[in-house]
Amino acid sequence: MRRKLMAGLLVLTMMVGGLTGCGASGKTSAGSDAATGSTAVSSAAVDQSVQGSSAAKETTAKKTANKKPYKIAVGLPDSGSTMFSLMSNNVKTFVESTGGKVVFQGGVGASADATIQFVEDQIAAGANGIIISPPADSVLPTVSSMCEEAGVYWGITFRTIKDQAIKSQIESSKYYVGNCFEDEANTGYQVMTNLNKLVVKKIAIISQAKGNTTTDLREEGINKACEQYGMKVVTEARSLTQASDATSATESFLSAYPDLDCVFIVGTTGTGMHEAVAKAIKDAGRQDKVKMATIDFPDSMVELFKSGMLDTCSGLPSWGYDPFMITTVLANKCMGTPISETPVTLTCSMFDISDTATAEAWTKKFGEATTLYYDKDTMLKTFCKSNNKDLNADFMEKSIKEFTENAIK
Amino acid sequence: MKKTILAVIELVALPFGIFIIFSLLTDGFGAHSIPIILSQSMIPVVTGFGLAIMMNAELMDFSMGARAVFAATIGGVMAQNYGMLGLIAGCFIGSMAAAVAMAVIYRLFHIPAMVISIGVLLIYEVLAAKMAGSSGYVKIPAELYKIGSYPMNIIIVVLAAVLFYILFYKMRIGSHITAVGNDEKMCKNLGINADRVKFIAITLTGIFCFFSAILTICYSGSITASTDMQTMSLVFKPIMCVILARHLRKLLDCMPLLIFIGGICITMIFNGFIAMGFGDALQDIILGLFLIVVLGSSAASSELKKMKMKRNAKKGITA
Repeated sequence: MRRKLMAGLLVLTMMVGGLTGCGASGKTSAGSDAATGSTAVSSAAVDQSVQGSSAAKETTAKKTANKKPYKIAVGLPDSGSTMFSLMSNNVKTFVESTGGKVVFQGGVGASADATIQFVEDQIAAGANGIIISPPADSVLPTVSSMCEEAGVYWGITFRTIKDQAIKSQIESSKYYVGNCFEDEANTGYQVMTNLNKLVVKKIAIISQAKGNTTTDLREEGINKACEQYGMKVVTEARSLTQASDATSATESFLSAYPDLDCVFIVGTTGTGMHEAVAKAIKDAGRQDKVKMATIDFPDSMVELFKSGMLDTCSGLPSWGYDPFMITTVLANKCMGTPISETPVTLTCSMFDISDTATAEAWTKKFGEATTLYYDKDTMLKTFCKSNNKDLNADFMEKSIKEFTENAIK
Repeated sequence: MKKTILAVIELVALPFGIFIIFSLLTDGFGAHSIPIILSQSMIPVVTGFGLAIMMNAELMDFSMGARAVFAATIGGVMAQNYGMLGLIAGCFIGSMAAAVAMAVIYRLFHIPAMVISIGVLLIYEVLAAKMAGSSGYVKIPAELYKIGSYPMNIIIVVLAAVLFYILFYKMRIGSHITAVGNDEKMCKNLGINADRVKFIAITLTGIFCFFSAILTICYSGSITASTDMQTMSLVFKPIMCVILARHLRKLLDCMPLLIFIGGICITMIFNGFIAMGFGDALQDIILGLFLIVVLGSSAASSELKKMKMKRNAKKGITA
């Protein structure tokens, strides 16, 4: 009897589930309504924040508030470290100020499956625009066809497209808005040039698994520098996720190569890795001989420079600036005011930090999750096509350059 | 006695052989590598003790890494206010609470342990990340991490090994776990409460998870609260150690020693590869081949033994 009851209950649950599933489109429209509601709140918030400051500001906000509501999904985490929170705060500020809604999801770039799953889920959830950081080029044609079918705009952050056939294929889609990426190869080369000046010859690298577009490009730059300066990558460790793994790998490097000159953290998703590497070098008593270099500024950069453990590092003024810029391109497209009819390609240059004073200045500005790249009003005035007729790919490139140059001034 | 000595010699031959091979192949590997190898083996070995209990009860667990990270994060956070006491208490409370919660879920819902372990792994990862805050990791001061750094980590693992030996060989629960793992139905017929035994087995892993948490946070002086199932990779090395130990068990039945030998062998191989300058992909391939060869040879030899026994039995019947 109990089994029959249980079976009946399960059948009922499945039927209710099925009905809910059938009602997906209705739910989506309900979601849209909800989004409209939140837009109204956001617009009101924008109006409130702008009210009273000046008539021009009021007009700007009203102009923006008139735009249709939209929803953007970003395949990056919005918390977990300062750089994630900083990025999500800036993206949220821009999107919500322009009457949109934004959702974040981490782990998307980890694999092709995760990326496709994310795009599928967000299309089903009613997103109008999607931003991804794909793990490899091979995933892009699938993403492109899915977005084209659903009529959803999409863009790429942090990644360039190496495969030319795939590049021309996706650039022909009217739903692809473009990509924003860092000059990875040049950054790898630049850090190696700095290390060459410090008379470094033998290097151990800590990087991501082969196939990761970002670290692969950085390593291309490293290899180029190796050939040019007669340096050598003698050993490597990849895909480390835990600080103790980084300590362990560095211990092994130091034990196996008594003449090792440097441990170079090319790219990692784990936090606390830099301190873990520094601890291993210090414990081995080799801090005077073994240098440490990294790409992307760690949270503990000032501490590491002060203790003399970190010698040089290179990174974007702020990690989240790249997704922020492509978000503005995508948001304009979703609002019906595209900044360009063809996909844009934006390149962010990195800059070096090799001393404590610069590290402190950087940390003061970008070590806080609440820092905004531009104040809300500037965001609206500058990065909304409806308010700034000059906004196009060249203008964006110019803005990136200015931002990088003035980052720590 | 002679058999035992021979078995010990055979056992020592495996790590010794690996050591000699790498020492001959590269200058970067040799006697100077021994302290590093010993130190690096400790976390996989102590995690392996916990996994051995689970695997002996025919349960699979991918959550040991996540549970250790969760416990170490609690320990790290508590250490900020209560120093050493906070670190130890936090790690212990965290690991035991995580193990008991997992055991309760297993007992109540009778879902396969592997499924539960993946579920709790996701939960503990997120909880640890929330506790770690925006930086994503928790640091402890140098005076605290010294308690789990080399050579103290070896002493901690020896203590854990003694505890594991007592649990596994000298207590009734150890025999029950093995019996339930071998034939659950038979145990039920004999009056052993298999569910209770499995509940205790999962709970006991909390003790070794505690040691693992202490060693992990002390090894680098910090713990990374990774998400997206990244902590799952923390159990791969310990699983290899236990598989190797179970294979070597036919030579000498002393699991703590065998897991230790397994850990030393695996760590030695990784260090040897680094000294030889092998890339990450090549390291994975060769390690995979090593495991296939060692375990394959075991399967082949036991098959040969069975065939021999069958043939002898047939001969006996004919005679």
